[in-house]
Amino acid sequence: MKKKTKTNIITRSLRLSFSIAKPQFVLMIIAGIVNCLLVVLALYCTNKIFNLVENSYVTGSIDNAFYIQTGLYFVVLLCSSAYVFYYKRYFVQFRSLTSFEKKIRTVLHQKCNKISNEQLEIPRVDLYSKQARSASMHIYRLTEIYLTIFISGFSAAVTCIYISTFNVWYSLFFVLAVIPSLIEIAFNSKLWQKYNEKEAALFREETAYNDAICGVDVVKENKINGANTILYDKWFASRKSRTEIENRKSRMMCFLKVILSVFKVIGDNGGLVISAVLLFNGKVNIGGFTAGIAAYIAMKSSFAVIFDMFGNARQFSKMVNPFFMYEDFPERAVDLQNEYKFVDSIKLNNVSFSYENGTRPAVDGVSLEIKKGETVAIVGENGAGKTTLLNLILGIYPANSGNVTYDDVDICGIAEQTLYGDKSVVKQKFNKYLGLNIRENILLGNECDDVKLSTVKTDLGLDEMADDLSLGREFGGSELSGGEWQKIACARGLYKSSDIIVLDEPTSAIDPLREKSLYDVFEKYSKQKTAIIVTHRLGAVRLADKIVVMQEGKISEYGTHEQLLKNNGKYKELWETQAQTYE
Amino acid sequence: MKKNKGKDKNAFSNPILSILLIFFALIGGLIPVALYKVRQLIIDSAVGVISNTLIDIVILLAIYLGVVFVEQLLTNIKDRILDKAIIKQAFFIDASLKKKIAKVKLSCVESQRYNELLSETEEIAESLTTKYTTIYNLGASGVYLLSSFVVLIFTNIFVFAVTFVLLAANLIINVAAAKRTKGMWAKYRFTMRKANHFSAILTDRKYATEKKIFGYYGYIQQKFETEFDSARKSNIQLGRKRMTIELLAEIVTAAFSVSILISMLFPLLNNGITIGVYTSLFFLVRDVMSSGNSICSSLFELNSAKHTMNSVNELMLLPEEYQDGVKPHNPHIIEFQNVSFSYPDSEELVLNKVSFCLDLSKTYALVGENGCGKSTLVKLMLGLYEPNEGQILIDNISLSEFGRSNINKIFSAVFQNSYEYPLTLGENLFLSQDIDKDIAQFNEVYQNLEFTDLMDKLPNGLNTNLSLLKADSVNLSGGEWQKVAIARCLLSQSKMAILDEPNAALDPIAEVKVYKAYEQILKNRGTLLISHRLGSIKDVSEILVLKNGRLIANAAHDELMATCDYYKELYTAQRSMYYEEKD
Repeated sequence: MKKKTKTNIITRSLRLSFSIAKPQFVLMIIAGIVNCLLVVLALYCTNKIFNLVENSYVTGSIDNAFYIQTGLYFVVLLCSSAYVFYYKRYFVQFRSLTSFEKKIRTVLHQKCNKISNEQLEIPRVDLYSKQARSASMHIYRLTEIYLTIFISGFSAAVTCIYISTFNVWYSLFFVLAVIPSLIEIAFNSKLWQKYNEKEAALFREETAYNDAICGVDVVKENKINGANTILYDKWFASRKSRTEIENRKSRMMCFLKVILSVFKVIGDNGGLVISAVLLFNGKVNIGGFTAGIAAYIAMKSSFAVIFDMFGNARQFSKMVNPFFMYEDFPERAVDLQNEYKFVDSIKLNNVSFSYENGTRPAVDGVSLEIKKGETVAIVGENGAGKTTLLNLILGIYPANSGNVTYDDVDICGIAEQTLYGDKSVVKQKFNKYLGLNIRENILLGNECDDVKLSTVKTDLGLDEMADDLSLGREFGGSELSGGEWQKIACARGLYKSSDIIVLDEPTSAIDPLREKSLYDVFEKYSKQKTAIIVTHRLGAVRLADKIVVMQEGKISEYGTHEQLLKNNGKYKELWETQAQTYE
Repeated sequence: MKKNKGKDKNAFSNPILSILLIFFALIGGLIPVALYKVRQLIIDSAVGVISNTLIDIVILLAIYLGVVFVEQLLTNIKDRILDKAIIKQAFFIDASLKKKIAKVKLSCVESQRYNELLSETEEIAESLTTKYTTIYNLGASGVYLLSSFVVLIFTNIFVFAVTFVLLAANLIINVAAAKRTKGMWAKYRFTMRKANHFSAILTDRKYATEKKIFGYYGYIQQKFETEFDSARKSNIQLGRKRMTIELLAEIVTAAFSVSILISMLFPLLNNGITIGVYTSLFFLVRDVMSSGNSICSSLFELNSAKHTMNSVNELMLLPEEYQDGVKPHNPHIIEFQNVSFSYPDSEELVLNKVSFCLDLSKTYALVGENGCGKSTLVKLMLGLYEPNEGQILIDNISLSEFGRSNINKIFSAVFQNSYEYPLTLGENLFLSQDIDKDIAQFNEVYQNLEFTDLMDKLPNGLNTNLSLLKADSVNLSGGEWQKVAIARCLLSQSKMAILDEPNAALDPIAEVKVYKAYEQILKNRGTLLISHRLGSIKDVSEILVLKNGRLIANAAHDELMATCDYYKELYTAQRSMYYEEKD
């Protein structure tokens, strides 16, 4: 079973690599084979050259063939240099790799765009996507590794066959040249596995403490809370244990290497010994001798590469796993109804929704109807399920049971683009789009209508900020306060043309004077629209056509402000707690 | 710079270590030359130029293997010595950096340069390894090159001269090129950081909803591609520069080796040199050239390692906060005298001649619109920034004389979003204090804040891990984390608590509960509340009203309503949301 998944991962990696960067990998195979022919050609030249030299030494005159051979040898050397320095070090490292990175990142972006929203709600998904991102480049490496194993194996075999034609004893090289690599393998085997796992765990801890010490956001709090000592101690402890493991590993490595160095010496120099003995016995001439030594060195390095790669392959096939786990995340269906226009009403029929780790449903059997053009407010305590209800209405989450319909069309059947095309939202946890300027932050790729843009900016009190003011200190832009960022988020929501607008605590970081006028602005913008608003500031709720009070995932009250005050229920309690403070 | 060089040396300042390494470098550099000599003898005796008996060959081969064996042993020991020192040194530098970062002034932390430095010092161990192995290799190769030069001079002065000139030229070119690429690296890093940021927008889960509603996938993908392409371009340029130089050096080397083959043929034919010398010389020159070339290109590596070390040094030199100073003895009053402040690199006055006096045992509130300087005022009060003009006094002693740890005894603070420390609940609550001492006090806070829900979730009570690092840890929601932060502030022994909008995310009922808890627990301690909900702060003894960096009024609520139009406007605006009809 385990074996099967491993091969599966390998085939998937290879298939993916070839599907997004076929020319590069085909080129890699061709270049590798050409290079291995170059190696053989170089051996041929060395042999010929030194034989000619020996001839000249005996005859005392230089054959013209010597010049031809050295010329050829020079060309071979040039080609080898081009392979190593132009192809492997430059082309692969700086061109292929980065172009692959761009493509595979895009694959990830697309995947994330397709993952269904309720999957995205699982907190771990961020971890997966981060792991998938670092795993993505290992796919290139894994493919490269398998191609290299193939090419190096081919190269070693061809070299061995060629050199054996000089003398049969040279075929011994094939066995001897493996020794140094086998010894390397002995080091990298299971011996380190337990250390590596321990080290990785310690490293994770260390990183978490490191972030808690160094993160730009946290420095202020650390200073005020005097947290640095405890964090430093924690960090120091994990760093120290990791250092000790590193040290122990290095010590054992040295010890083993010393013990095994006899074999290593034999393996490293077996070729020279055999060649020298053959030369002494007259079995090969001086050309055969030099070619033999060169062939031995080439084979040794081929084997070193192969075994090295096998070790890496094991490691890398584990490392690419997160990428495919991410690839396998369930996606939202794509072939859905595209033609749809919202006309009349949104209906929720006995809708329930639970989060993966939730103890009780976040929304529990809710039925509700929102007519086109209505303004509906949703209120309730923290954790009552307000935001979840919004996400259900928007179609961000699918209902576990019951259904949400727009004009009796189930939203699960509407394609995303259509579904979100006529909606706009201002989220409580709004995002800051650093690295973009104000205009870009508001438009986010929507078409630019200068008049509309400047109206929205004026309405929200952003008119003093230049359109091209770049934001985010990390990228050399200006830093804004939380309230200003929230205003930009509001501007974004209001700028987008929409039939349905959703405001989820849109003013939590905005100052009081603005808040009142903001709600006036929201009213203005939502006049022709269906608006759904979630807020703790009940003052803003009063004017809504309908108020929904949520309690523990259920709707406990529903009606207008006046009706609800008469009800003597949760709404009244909430209202009075807040209103009292202004008496 | 000087100070840090001293630290830098720490693990390597041991004279025995240095002597050992120099010794190893000497031996390591001389052995290849010795091997060259033996190899030459082996060939000569094998082809019968010198005495030609089996014994000779066997003895020579034995000597050869023996020398190789010694070399192997020495290399292993040297590796171990270097490894150990590097591990120790990396730990040492890492630890000093962490210690330093905790002390760096906030004004430095909140700058773009700090972010750059931080990311540049991440891979300190790698660059130390590069640095010291390169330095060692430079030494060993230097010895090797020198001794080879001696051999070459005695063999053929002409070959020596050409080799020397070629290597020197390569070295000069490399040094010049390494210098020129410096700026390109910085550009590459910056654009790559931006590309990664856009990539994160497309894959992080917090952006998921907005991505769909605003449909900006294509737009941000475009941005990602632009930034990535530009990063890739500078990367390719860097690669091309490096490749060109290396390839050129290789071509020259190839040409040179071939010309040796030809030119040395004549002395061979004139019996000036033996065939052993001819053969080995060819390999020696190739070896010398390639090791010379690799020294040159290793200068590139050294350059990037140097860059990291420079960043370390720069970070270590950032100005520090004053840590220890005057011990406060039951401080009473904090006074701002004509305090003006603007952020570094900005001319805009965020605070303009602000003067006021607070009794550290009373309750105050600070109100004002977004961007009026509230947060900055808090930062100054907490000693995180220093005023450009005017002074801040505590009982007539300048705040800056107290130092961090003492300021923390005077003030504690809760901010809007508190950091989620990867520690246990107990450690989170008592970040800078001894846990055992305060259990009794914890119980009081526990009851007042209604921590029960939270404590029920935690299997090990205060010892439950709240980080995701450990297997037994429990994850808290945002609201629960905020409660932890509030509890931490209440538990601290500070004289005055500064609460910078800690309740924005809480619902009205929870908010009232929290304020009640403050009143209960902070009986004899002062409070400075910063809130946008004017209703909930109107009972404080004095309200400070900030507008555009100026303190325009400070008085109790009733007085402000009578005298301060601006405050009245703010308050009525908010109140009108609840009591419109009564206006």
